[in-house]
Amino acid sequence: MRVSNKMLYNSVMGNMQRNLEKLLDLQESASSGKKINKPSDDPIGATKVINYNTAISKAEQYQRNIDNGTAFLNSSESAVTATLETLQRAKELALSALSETNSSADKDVMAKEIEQLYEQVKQTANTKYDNRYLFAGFKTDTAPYDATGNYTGTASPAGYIDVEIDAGNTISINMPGYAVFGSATDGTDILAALDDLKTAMESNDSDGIETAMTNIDAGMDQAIDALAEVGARINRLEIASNHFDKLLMDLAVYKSETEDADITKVITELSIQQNMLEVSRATAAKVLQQSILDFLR
Amino acid sequence: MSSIYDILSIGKRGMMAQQAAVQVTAHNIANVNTEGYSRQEVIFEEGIPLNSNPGQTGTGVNAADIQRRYDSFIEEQLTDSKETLGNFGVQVSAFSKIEDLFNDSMGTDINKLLGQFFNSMQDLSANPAGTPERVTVLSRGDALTDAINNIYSSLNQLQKDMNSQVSQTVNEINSITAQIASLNVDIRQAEITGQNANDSRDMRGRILNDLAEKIDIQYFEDDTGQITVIGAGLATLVEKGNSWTLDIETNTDNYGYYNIIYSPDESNVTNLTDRISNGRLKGLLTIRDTETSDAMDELDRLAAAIASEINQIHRTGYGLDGSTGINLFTPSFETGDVLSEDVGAITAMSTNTGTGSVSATIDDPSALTFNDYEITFSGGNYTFLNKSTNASSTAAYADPSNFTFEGLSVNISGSFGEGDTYIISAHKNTAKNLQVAIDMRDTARIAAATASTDNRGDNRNVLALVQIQDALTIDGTSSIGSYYGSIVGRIGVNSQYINSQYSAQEFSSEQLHNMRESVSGVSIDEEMANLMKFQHAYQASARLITIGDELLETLMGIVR
Repeated sequence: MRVSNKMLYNSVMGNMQRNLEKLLDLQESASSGKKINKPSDDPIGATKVINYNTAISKAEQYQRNIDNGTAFLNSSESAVTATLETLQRAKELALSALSETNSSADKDVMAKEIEQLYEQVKQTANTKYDNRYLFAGFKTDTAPYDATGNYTGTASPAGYIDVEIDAGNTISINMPGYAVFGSATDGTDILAALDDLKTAMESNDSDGIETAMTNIDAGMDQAIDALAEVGARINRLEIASNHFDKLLMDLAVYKSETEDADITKVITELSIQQNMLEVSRATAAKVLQQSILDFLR
Repeated sequence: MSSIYDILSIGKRGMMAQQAAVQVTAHNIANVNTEGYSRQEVIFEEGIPLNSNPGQTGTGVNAADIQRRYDSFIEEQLTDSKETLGNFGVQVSAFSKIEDLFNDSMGTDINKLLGQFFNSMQDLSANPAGTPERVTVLSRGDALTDAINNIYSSLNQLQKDMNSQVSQTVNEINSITAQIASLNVDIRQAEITGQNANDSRDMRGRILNDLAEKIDIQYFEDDTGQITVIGAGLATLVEKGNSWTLDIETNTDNYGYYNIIYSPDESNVTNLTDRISNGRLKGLLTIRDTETSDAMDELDRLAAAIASEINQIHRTGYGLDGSTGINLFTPSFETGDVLSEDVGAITAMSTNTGTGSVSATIDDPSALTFNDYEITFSGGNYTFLNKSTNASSTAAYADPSNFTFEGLSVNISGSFGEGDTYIISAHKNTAKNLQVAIDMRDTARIAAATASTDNRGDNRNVLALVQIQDALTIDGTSSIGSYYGSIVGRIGVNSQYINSQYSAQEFSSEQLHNMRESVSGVSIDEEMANLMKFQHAYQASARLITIGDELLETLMGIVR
């Protein structure tokens, strides 16, 4: 083939240009650490990365929801546990009030203590977390039990605040007061039972004390049920949280496999490419210089 | 019988011929770097011999012709490859801009902002009365709508750039065709007298390639050396010394963008826009009318799905202040909303002949599909067609008529011409206009609850809103997030295709250039060797004259 000067120049420039382009690509991969730097680098991979990013962002949000829910439920759990202890004391007092050895004066003292226990339970039922009443159902801005111990929160069966802990999967992060402490219309009204106990003690009414004690027992059963439910939910949240810990790790791995460059490979290719570029530069310097003029005089 | 004067004459002609060759060599060397130059060569011929005794004697050399070395087959292939390079070259650079807009790794992409917006609603569901949570929902919504608005307007800007380049390219084409016509005349005038118009032909070849880079052309040469150029398969752009211009015309059916018009005479007007099949114009038109407009339409659908789905649920809920029926986004896509011609939701074709009017309102937001619809009048009937699914309904037209179709209520009245067509697309320009409708000071109006009172802890409506993220709301097959992913995927695939086509074409064009250079290119080495060859021949011819002179002197000496 006949070779003209421009052919030499064109092929040297063309090859150098291609080498530079590859070098730029590799440099981009090496400096960003990613093999997908724009959608056209790998359209399917780019779409996958978008989906992974969505999944990661959602999993992190579900983790947040779970942490937040756990905090709520933990507060509810300690409130219910405290109530159970109080009720246990009330029951002991009622039992001893029923025994023949206690005089009516003793019972008056016991009634005073019951009054304290009543206040304690009411205070617990009106617990706040994050400046919201825990047991008020949806009415998180008003105390669920008023001065006379009446339940004013969201009525049964509503008042459960649900949050999402997985796509389409919700869990309630609260117990409405009626399900724990009862109300005039739902379950055993624990505050009313305590109040009845106090009145019966003051009037030395053994039958009344016995009735109130039965009610307190029923109330304790109710609180224990609520505690079990809260505990079960905390467990479920813990399992979900572990699931997302694992999922987030997996997603990070998948995402990295899809979009991250194999740095060893990239660096190796980069140095090969640099060598090739040097070779084409050296060739250019040698080839383009030469002319028959060097040999004519 | 030979004469001494013949020797002098042979010497003189030899010197003249070699001098012509040296001159051509000099011309070649000077043009070693001229694009499109074909090296030239002097064709030597023996002089016509004289009959004499003892036999015919030669009369030396003639420089008969100066020819250029060139291969018309390679030239044609080069012209073809210029067309494709022009087409893909424009698209490659436009695609890199489009890809930048949708680039996930930049951190400002719609996908991330969508995720943050829905996450802010998750946070609101955990604390429905919290002011910080409510403010966050609104500001995440703002960030999302801003990003969608920005990408949309950047795409629109790119579309406008392409359009103005169309007009610029048409001007360049017109100037090139005029030059080709005038070179045609030059070449004919030179060659009719038996000359070779080598340099004019090179120049014509070069600007012909410039023309091919802009529009697909076919050309052929007639017996007077003039070429006829046909553009876009049917438009005669150059014939002999005449050239015809391409014009641009605003197309009201395509957002006022330019059509390319060919009108050799007043009665003969052809719209070439859809006939141009290659060259830069094709690339510009593809980006303008297909790539950017597809991406903009998809963004419109995405924005419309976000606004419509979220508003539908948001309207059913209650704010902290007891408000209900409130929209979180504008446009609201609410029952009774009028689709306006101002935002392009209804477009009457410019070819319509009737005086009737078409108006549409939203009848059932939950039934909206956000497809393009076409209503056509024909033979006393009207047909309403969903252009994506091809679902349609036809009925006899009575003035006025009202019908509902896929959530739209359409009113038609007045008289329509045969074939009158209207395009209805409820989602048009939503990506441009999407805004958060609730003011930052009115956070209480965010409808997290499903009851009007005692609802500070009620998050049931916001829980329903959160579900929209994964619901298959677009065509019943895609969620909002996955639809965005499919937009990015489609752009990536198209861009990858164009890039690989372009590099393949670039490579083959380089090979063709080398083949052309192999035939037509100047080699300094070769020219220098030729130069020495011609110099020596010149010196020898000059020597011949000295010898002739000495012979004559010898002859004179006899006489003295």
